[in-house]
Amino acid sequence: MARSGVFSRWKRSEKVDNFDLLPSDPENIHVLAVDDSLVDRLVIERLLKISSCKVTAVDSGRRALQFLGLDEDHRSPDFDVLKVDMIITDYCMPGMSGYELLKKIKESSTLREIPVVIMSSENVLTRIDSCLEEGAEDFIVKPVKLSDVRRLKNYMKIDDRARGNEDRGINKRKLRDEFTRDLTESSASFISPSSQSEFSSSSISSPSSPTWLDSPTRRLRMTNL
Amino acid sequence: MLGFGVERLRADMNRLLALLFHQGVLDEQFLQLQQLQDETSPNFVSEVVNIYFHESEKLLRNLRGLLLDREFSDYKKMGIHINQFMGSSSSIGAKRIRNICVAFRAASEQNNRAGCLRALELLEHEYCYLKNKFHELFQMEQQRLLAAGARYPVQN
Repeated sequence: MARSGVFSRWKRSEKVDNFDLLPSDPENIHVLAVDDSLVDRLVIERLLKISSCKVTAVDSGRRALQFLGLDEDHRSPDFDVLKVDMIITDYCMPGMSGYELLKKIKESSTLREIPVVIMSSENVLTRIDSCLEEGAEDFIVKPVKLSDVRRLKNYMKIDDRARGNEDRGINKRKLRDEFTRDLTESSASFISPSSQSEFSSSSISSPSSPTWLDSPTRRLRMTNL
Repeated sequence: MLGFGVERLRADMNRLLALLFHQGVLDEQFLQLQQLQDETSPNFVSEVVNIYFHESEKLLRNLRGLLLDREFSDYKKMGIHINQFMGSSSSIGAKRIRNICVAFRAASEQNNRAGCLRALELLEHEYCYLKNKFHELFQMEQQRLLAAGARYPVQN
């Protein structure tokens, strides 16, 4: 059964004969793209559109927060209508950096479930690590390609499936930690006690989410150890 | 015959593109840009490239202004311009320009003014070359569209 990539918590699942069905609507994925570079905004916008996503592109973290209704000075009154399924932001921006934007989003009770992806031209391991620690979904090294966007779309579909009928209010990081705990409890032979702590704080995903295991970010981290 | 012109123009364009790839002036990111162009966005590549030129010229002017200032010392500010130039160049596949930016940034981080000046000159030279080649490409594309339009009057 094909699952939609709709992540937004504004959609309600329809109950049909005791089954929860998620509406299949991949065309309705709405991505908020944040980048101070006009050239990059044009490219990411086009990449997303050609991958059947709706796009809103803004040039700063500040504007992104305004759009999301988080900015105290300019609260967006129509936030209910402007559902955002994913945020993709550049790391290096004047004013608020992508990292700071990520933190603000994850600190917000209303927005923290929205997956945030960081883009950067710099391939710095500590930067990647701190973004993932802060709750970023993925980290893309620029220039961004069609294959990157395709991978991101798959994330959302698989995440939806992994969540299944779970309450949408569960924080993603918590979900991940639960899977990790289950893994370590049920298969203690795979993970030695000494490495448990490093695994529980990293972004290990459950076996039902193979996409993360294929993520170049993870490969990058492993090969650079 | 007009039909013959279309094919010849297409071949010329491909040859020029192949040359630019061979020279390392462009890389596969430019191919990505081409893939993003279709009927819904038929001028995508030229639009993005023209915006890139507009922004690049501003950045190059800023860089030159900074370096020619006898009392120049704000390497951090220069680093920001270099990063911007590097980012946009990488996004459109301007490989050689991007690589020179990397060297430029290294010189800037070492507060090496002479090295920065050398890098800037190289940058201006490469930028000029790229801009000329793109103009050739876009001109050929225009001619090809005109010729194709005349050949198949019912097509858009």
